[in-house]
Amino acid sequence: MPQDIPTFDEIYAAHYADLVVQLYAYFGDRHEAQDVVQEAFCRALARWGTVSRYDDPVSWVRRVAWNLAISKWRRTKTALLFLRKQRRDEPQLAGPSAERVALIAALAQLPATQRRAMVLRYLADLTVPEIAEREGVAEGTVKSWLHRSRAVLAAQLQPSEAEEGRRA
Amino acid sequence: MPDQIEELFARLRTETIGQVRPPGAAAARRTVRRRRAAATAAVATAVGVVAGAVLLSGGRAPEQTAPVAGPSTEDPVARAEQSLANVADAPGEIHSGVVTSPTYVSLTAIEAGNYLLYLGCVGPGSIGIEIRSGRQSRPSENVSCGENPDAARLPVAVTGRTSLLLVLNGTDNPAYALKLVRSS
Repeated sequence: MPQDIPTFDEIYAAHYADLVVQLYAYFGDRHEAQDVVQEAFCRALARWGTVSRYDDPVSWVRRVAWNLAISKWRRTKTALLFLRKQRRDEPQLAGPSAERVALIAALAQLPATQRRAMVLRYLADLTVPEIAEREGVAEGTVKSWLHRSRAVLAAQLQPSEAEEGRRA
Repeated sequence: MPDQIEELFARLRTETIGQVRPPGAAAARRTVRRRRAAATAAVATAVGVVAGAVLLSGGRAPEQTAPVAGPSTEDPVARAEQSLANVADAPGEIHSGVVTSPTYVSLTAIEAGNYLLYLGCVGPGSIGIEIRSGRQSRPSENVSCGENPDAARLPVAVTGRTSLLLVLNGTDNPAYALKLVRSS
């Protein structure tokens, strides 16, 4: 039914920023995250007739964005140059908070699989079974990744909080 | 701490979203439109190129790659793309669609070297593929289609930077997906 198929604009408006956050949390560079997510949406648009009929078009866009980021944009040079030109008019924004920097830095210490699991769980709001299916592993493995990651993040983030407490 | 971690992620999301300036769906449309226009221009250029130095090895039957397990889908183009899963990580772009004879695919700025052209097609019939470079042309080769096909592999040797024009002729409008992957 045509009315059941989401339009490209609807999907873009609803998910662009969220996907940028996920890619940013994983790779640690917000501008690069914006570029690859935009490129992923361009690719989705080029074949929207097909992608829009998938059960979860956003998952397709996320996977493409992720793959693009991992391969360091080998295949998107032209689009990235275009997007960088677009950013000339972007207004100056305040820098990230210390808390955000600390979280991104702590995430970067995690092994890739654990970092991906954390991003998918806490930023993409995927369930453990969904992450397990996406990663092709058992649910128990995902639970283990999440457990270990939380422990590492807690250890990395708590000292700075304690220091702040002492300073206050 | 787990609850605190959830809060940290929530704040990360809120703070970052506040700073994200989406280029917009309209920008995506412009990009796609520009790429399509560039592809069309490249086809015209490839047809007109005289000096593309390319040796096209022919006469060998296309090899079939091993089948790849993956999620099944009703969409024939997506199934054709799945046949290229083995080379998904290799550099290069996947071209896909439905063959409405003849269908042209242009591959530009191909450097000298040996390549394999992976071609998967979905449908009851087959695809005849002819590879052209400038005025040189390799005789059409036939690739059988299937419902969940293995990608055929056609060796292509390129002796100098050039563009290739692929001419696809299909029976019963098969879906196709193809990718040129450097082998040496």
